[in-house]
Amino acid sequence: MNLSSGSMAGGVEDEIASWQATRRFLATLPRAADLRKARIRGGRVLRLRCDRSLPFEYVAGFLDPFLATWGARHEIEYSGYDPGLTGVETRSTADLRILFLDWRLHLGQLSPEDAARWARTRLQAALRAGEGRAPVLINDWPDCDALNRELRQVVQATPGALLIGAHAVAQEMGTDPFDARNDAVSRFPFSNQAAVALARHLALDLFPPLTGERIKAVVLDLDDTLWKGVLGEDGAAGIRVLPGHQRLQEKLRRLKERGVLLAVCSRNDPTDVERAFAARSDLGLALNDFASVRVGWTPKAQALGDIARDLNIHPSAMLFIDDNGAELARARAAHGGLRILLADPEGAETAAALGHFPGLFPVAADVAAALRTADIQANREREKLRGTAGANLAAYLAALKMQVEINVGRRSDAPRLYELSQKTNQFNLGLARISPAQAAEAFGAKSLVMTVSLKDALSDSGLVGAIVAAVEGKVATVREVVFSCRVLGRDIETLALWRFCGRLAARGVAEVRFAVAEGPRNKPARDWLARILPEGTQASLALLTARLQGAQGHPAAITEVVHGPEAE
Amino acid sequence: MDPKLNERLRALLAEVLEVTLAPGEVTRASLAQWDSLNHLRVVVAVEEEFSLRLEVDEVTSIASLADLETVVAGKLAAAA
Repeated sequence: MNLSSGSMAGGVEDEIASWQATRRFLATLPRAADLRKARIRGGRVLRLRCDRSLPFEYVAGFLDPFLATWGARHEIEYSGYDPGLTGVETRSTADLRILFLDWRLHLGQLSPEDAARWARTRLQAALRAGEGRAPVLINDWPDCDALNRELRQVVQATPGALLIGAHAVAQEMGTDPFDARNDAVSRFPFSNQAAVALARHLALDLFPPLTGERIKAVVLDLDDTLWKGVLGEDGAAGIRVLPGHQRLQEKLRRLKERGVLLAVCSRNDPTDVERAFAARSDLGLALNDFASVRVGWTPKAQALGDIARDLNIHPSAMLFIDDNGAELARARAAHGGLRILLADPEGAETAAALGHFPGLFPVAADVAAALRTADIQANREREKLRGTAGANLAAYLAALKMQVEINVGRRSDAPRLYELSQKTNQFNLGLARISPAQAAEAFGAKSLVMTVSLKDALSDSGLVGAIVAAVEGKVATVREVVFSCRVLGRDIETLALWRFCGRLAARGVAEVRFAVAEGPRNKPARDWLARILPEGTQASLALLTARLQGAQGHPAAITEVVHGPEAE
Repeated sequence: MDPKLNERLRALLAEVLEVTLAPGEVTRASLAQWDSLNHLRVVVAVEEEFSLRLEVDEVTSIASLADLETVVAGKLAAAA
């Protein structure tokens, strides 16, 4: 039951049956008995540490069947039962830490405000014990609005902390999450189905994005996927938008608002598709909601490659939804790591499966979400301009009328720095993959952080890049050079590094060293540095600055603002 | 008692506790894996397997496979 790899010995029919089972598994809360019978072996191991005042074992026992959908399984170490959570200070190499609390023990003695303040100290201790790398998750409690409100605020204000939404899980179940019998027998207050639902929330919603499993784009077939019927045969008036399709389109619209890109990959006449979107007011999405539209008679496996190029992302960051199993099989064979979901022609099960599809849950607000689709659509216009300018790069850059805003030491950029460090692949020099806590710490006195925002005549790209260096005496070690792939090809990264050198000079730095990691997709970043410093990854600041002098002629209008102590 | 009931419960116990059970009586005291944590797992598995619900006093009264069999047989008879 793996959504991105593996093959069945029995051929396409068995594969399709397996994909149907997976869709149903994701769409409906499985019975505890069915999960108990699943035997999971192999897969990437997630190491968990759980500090608790509740037996987490009942939840953990259901994790692996859900984890297996994205090729993972878990190993876990437990603290003893300790309402004070003193064990959180224990150092651990776990990938993720869980604080699983029986809030009833605290709410009898503490106000919700004081309970949340205490939780903050435990979260901070757990983050320190994980050296800032391991995110720490803490549960809220069903039907405890005051506590949950306070906990949300604490978690939002603590980089690296996340909430296990026990209240939201209970609401989605729609039944009483508590079981007095289980509580009396084993001090586990939840029902068996609540334990399954909590395991699903952890394994499908929370763990994937925290461990690098993110879906950046959802690519959809149209016929019998986004609507019922075949457009080429039934016509725009004949296709049907069933309640399941309306739920699916609503879900897709919400995904787009959160920053997930949408794309269409359909074998249809492009004019028919444009007419259908224009004529059918019951469609919950407009054609311009899709950042890439590939409609025609090109084989879908090839069209998916075109979409990946349009969006400038790797196919492994895409989820392809199609009702045709053979198309899914061909697409997956052509694009390693592509996630797939067999569409329900009625729409309902597709919509429900997307609700818990691994890699789609928003664990943090996506700062650049609102800008992304428009910016990618504008890239097509940029390509036309680039074509018109021919070999004259300077003319192309000038025609874009770029405005670059540089901020030095602006602490409020920490969440976006975290996003860029985690999400960028092609232009990520050090692949440091810093945690939220490390992103916040990067704005300390011994560091220099520059963030770069970009607008041009076609769109506002938002905050698209960052450079981070640790400064010790006269030596600066550049740990992060990260730029969104949406802005590559406009020499913004070179311009930014040149300005960064200016800030380093102001700090008295004489030597610059770059942390460079070789990853499967960051060749563009490594090649960029090699063009600037062919002799290696370190140089005197004077030499580096001299090599970047050409950036002075960049046509962008630049504003640079220095914040905090740097400004003094 | 239905010998098949004993067999089904024995198999279920072995599956949940992930142990191979020797023939004869099995007690919580003699089987380390059948601790209080796993006791609830056993109970839940039995409930699902036989579509019944055990109450607190019934759960706490089970100290062996024989006890489990008695409780389940009683529940099934009452439901028949």
